[in-house]
Amino acid sequence: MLVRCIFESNSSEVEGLWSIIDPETNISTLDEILDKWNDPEYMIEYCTQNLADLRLELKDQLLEPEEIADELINEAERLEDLLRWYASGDDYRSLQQVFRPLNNKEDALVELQLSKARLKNHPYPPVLRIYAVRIAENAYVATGGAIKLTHYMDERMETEEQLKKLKQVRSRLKDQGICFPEDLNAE
Amino acid sequence: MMNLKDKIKQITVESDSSWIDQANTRAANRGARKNARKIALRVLAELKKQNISQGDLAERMSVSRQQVSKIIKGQENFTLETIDKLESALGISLITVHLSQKRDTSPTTWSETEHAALKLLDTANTLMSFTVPIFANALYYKEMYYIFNNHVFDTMRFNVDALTIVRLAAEFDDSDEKKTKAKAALGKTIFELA
Repeated sequence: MLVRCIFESNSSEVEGLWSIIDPETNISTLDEILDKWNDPEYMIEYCTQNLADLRLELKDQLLEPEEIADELINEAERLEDLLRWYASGDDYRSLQQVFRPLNNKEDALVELQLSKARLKNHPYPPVLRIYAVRIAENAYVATGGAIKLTHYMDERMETEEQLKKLKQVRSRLKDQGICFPEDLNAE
Repeated sequence: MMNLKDKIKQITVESDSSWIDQANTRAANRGARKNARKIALRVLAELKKQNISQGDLAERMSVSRQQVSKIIKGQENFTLETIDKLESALGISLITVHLSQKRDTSPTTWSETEHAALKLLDTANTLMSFTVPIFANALYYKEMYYIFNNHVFDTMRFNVDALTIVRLAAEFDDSDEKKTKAKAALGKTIFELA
């Protein structure tokens, strides 16, 4: 498994964001998902196909697919702004404020923790997720992303696949010796 | 023994991601892109509703398929001529120009101050995603009164943002540490505007 650096700090610590690469396209999965989320054609198609679930999740039965697509692209822009903010500065210490443990109830840091990034405040409940495996205190390997429309990831194929991918990447990182638990809880 | 940095390097490909350049371009042109995207979404919705293919639309507009592709990807930098062709081809109205100087709630006729206020709101919303209440407070005292008085929210569905801003303003923490962090985060932009 190969990864591509999305951004990295200049310090001696491992801090920053990497992404796995799609072996067929040689494109990072993070680039791929952010491109999709910024594409009106892809988003309106997605919204048309998943209209009922999206209306339920966004708590608004009146929205049309094009309106929901617009909202979701707005959300993607804000999520991207968040990453740009971290990419442009040296404050990688707080990257862990964007990527949180996948399980909301999990507060301890564990080795190769499955994590997610999402907006915290948004006019609608945020549904976009970027998934990543944590490799050090403020270092993550992104595995992909999804529009999350159910409470549990295994309730929909889209998020179930992402969960599988997260676990696969964690396992491969472990196989490749990228497993340094002593880094995680260090202050 | 290899450290973590070396191990990551070992599995990292040489070529860096182009994401940051693309994201910066997207952000730099956000105003124009937002409008292009809204037109793209409206056109896509109409194509589906009227059962018209992209090829048919190209023919009706007498433009290439590539140009239609750019339009529906939200990448077209529209001329009035293209908008006119789109409106005629689909029988819809995409933009309206107001001749009156009366207050108008349409985004196309907002004053510079209103644009600045909305830019602040947009930025604040992004920042609130990672909780920096100081911006909300700055907005509340300097701009919110103006915005509310001009009923911008009535038409733009910013009401939820506004409520969030007011709520966060109540939790305002005027510590130097937050101010410094906030300034570092956004450079001069928000402070100059606010």
